Amino acid sequence: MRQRKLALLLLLAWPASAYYHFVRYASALPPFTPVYEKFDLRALPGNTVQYFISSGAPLVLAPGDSEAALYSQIRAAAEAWSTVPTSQIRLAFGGFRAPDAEAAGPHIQVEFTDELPPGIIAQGGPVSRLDIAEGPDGAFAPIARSVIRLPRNLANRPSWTERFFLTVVHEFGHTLGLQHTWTSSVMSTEITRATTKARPLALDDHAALSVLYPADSFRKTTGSIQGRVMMNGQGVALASVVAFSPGKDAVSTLAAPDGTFRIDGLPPGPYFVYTHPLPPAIAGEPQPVNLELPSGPGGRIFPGAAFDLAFYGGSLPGFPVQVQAGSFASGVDFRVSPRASVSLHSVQTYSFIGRNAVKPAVIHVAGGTNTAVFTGYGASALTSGFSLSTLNAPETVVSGSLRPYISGYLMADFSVSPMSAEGPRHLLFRNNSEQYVLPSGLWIAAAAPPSIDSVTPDGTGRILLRGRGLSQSTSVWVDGVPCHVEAQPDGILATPPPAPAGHRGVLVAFNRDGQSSLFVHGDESPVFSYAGAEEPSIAVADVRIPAGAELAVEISGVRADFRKWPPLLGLGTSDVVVRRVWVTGESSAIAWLAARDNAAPAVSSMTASVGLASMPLPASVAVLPAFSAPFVRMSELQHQYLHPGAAIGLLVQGVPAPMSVGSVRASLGGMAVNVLNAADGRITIQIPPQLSPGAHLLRLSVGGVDVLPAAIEVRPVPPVLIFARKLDGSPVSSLSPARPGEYVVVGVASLAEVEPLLPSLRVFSGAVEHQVTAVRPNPDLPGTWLVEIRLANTEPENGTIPLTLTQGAARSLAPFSLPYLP
Amino acid sequence: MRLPASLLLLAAAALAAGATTLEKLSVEEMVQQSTAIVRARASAASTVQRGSMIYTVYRLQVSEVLKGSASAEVLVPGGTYGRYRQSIAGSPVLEPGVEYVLFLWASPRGLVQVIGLSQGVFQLKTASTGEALLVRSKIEAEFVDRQGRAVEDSGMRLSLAGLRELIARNQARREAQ
Repeated sequence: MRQRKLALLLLLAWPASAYYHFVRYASALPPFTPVYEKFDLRALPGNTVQYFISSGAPLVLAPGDSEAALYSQIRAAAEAWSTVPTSQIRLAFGGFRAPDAEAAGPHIQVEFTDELPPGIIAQGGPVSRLDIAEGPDGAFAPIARSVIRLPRNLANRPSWTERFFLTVVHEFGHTLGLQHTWTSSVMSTEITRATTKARPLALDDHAALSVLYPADSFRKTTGSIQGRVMMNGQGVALASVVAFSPGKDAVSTLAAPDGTFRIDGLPPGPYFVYTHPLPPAIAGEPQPVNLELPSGPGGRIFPGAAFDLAFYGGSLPGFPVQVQAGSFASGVDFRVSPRASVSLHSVQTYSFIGRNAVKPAVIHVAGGTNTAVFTGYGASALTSGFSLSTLNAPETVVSGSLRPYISGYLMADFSVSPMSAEGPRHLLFRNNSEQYVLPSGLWIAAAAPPSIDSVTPDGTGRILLRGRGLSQSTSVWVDGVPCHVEAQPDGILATPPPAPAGHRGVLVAFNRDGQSSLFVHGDESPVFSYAGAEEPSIAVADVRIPAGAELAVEISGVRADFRKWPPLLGLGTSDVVVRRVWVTGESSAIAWLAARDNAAPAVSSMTASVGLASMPLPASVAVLPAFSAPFVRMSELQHQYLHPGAAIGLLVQGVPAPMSVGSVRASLGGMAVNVLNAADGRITIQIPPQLSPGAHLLRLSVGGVDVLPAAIEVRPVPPVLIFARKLDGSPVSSLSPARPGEYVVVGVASLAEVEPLLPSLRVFSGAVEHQVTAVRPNPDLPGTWLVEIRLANTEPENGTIPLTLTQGAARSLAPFSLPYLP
Repeated sequence: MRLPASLLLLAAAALAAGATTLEKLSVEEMVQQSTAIVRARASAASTVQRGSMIYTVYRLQVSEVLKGSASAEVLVPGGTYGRYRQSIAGSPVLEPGVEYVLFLWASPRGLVQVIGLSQGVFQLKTASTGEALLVRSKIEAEFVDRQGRAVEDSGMRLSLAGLRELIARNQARREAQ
């Protein structure tokens, strides 16, 4: 019965792609619906998986490196995965703890170990349960915990380098359930990886993560390509199928045992599609290189036999497949020809900037380097029949420029064209009858990478950076933490983050084109010294939280500007997570904590971080039995628009006795609060009208029993759209509707008088934004404003469009129905 | 444009490391860095959890100790333990009945593993001349060398006598230091 139910669920599930995740198949027969190893988001408060760092004994670091710098890079690497907009999962730093500490909830352990044998650089991956769970996206194998193991001796791997950072990003990808890809993303092995510290994830990484943890936007904003790879009438298992748009990242998947495939996560547009075999298996090993094979009822599933790379639609450049958001492009089928073996693969490219080499090769449109050096299996010597070209790109390989470099390496020159635009280019290698495509093997950049040629302290704790390619959009990090920057006529004025006293941090500038000053300076990047700077400190009270409860805790700081660098709390336990931190002042913040429903009673030590400084706290986190103290269910409030004067209903759980209005005492942000109602576990209060917007601590007591402190985020009073009229003063009505491109004046109440006012205002109807052209006080109704807008072209519903207005964090709650005729 | 090789090495140094990218070790390096080298057959795999890792444990029937001291077992990362499975791509699988020469490495806490994941596993075969050979087929994994530069593995073939000689030379060098 259970098996039938599972089979039904599998059939009903959103048809899933195999990708390169850790995959099990529940059935030996089609349809092959993969069962992924992934975290169960339902077990993670706020969809947040915590990672803990365990160092144990002291580390051996490269000269100039430090543990503060190293940990900041690890946090930055984890953050890369938290910023994928089409994925729900988030990563949060859970603090430091002993390597052997017990942890009940799903989590990630980053540990430094001296148990990695010589010859292994790093290890990582999930530990998953054998039993299968049912989730909203189908059956899956829940990850119980994941681990990243790094050597304790990092003397030859400075933490600020591209190679260390991308290795840690890559490892975090494994811990989340991703395997390797052959599409030059961060989840490719180091050989073909084409991402950089300035641009750590590629589209393939976004797609892979979003398949496991899809946000609503994933399926709404992207489409899929599906088909089958056949050879001699049989499906080809684990054929790699790749889709690419010229000038954009490629996305790939691996075929199911019957050769069927689906590539998800493709932004709308035309795509060329090709399929290629995986590189050869490791001799003597039951699997191909660096891939944990999928398994089914009959055991491991092995790749099909080698075949010739093939483009959809036949010969080059192939036949483009049109992808639309939210839909499938089907029937993208391949009939491939067998070949004896694969000998052309795993090519890496370099170019040179000064004394440093950059991978992948970068060509600058504005001049400079146009030469790429490359090497790989089958591409290490110039033989007859060997050739190189770009795929569907305006840049070309200069005729006759393909030549040997040093032994084992080749090189070629590329010519740019007036059509050259920034972005990746895909390279096609041919060796007689064998073809190989290296996605993103070449990167086109408009300008040279940034450099930091001088660092001048300004005497106020800030530093003026001068160099090339530094602009308003440049970000500057000290180790793994961004500075606050202001563009200056002669450089960038940067405020470094707080750090331990005497810290020496490495400065790196990042530009949005994926280049950084590491391209120029490499391991010899400039350093900023905190000599003489005072060390920040953070204080938090002890936390006692019942299982399943939520509470708020105040954080205070000294010598750290929380508004620029919000504090992080490490709770040292996977059973309690920090859902959010609100900064309430330069040295104050409130953290929202939530304990898992089945958290076991235990005590753990807290740590705190701000900028580059991390410190153990004397405070501890104690998990108590469920309902041992009353608490406010804060998560109920997070999507509500709460403003001064508004009434809010609070779900209060664990109150030992019946409640009444008279038994409740409440204050919010230190102000006494009107209690409007109290019954059946709900307390309704009014937010004091004079309370300023921001997060405030709520203190409640019921019948003399203190409820755990909660936090309420108070938004500005919402603006109200009162009327709309035309420029001649006549009202907009169904008889005289507004038209596209027409200017109308909207009367608005409750606007905050910020300076300048105009840029703070935005007007929408649904997702369509209308340009705000002027704003002035309304002379006829003091305290209200006249906002002039130019209407964009949009589609009305029942003859009207729903106008809303936002001003910073404030937004009108009820839309104004504007009569509108397209 | 001709670029100096030193630049390439600089470049390559900035490219090392990856989750399962292996650092290629020469036989000499494996001899130096291993704590034991044994001729053995493996049997009866079980699993154990140590800290955050699950290991598959092979019991070793050691027929000859070439370096260090005999180990009763070797641990290979990954496996199924209780209700959990840990996957480590590239971990070697030791077949029962096959005679191996294993380059072993004991961690400071006494955990005995194979050097370099699969790099330290050789099958022992007899050549037509009767000579005992250590054979490791070409590993088409993606290797980097000490500088992080991609390198191709060409497989290995070494006589047992040659290995003994290497071990002896290494031992003599260490004693001389």
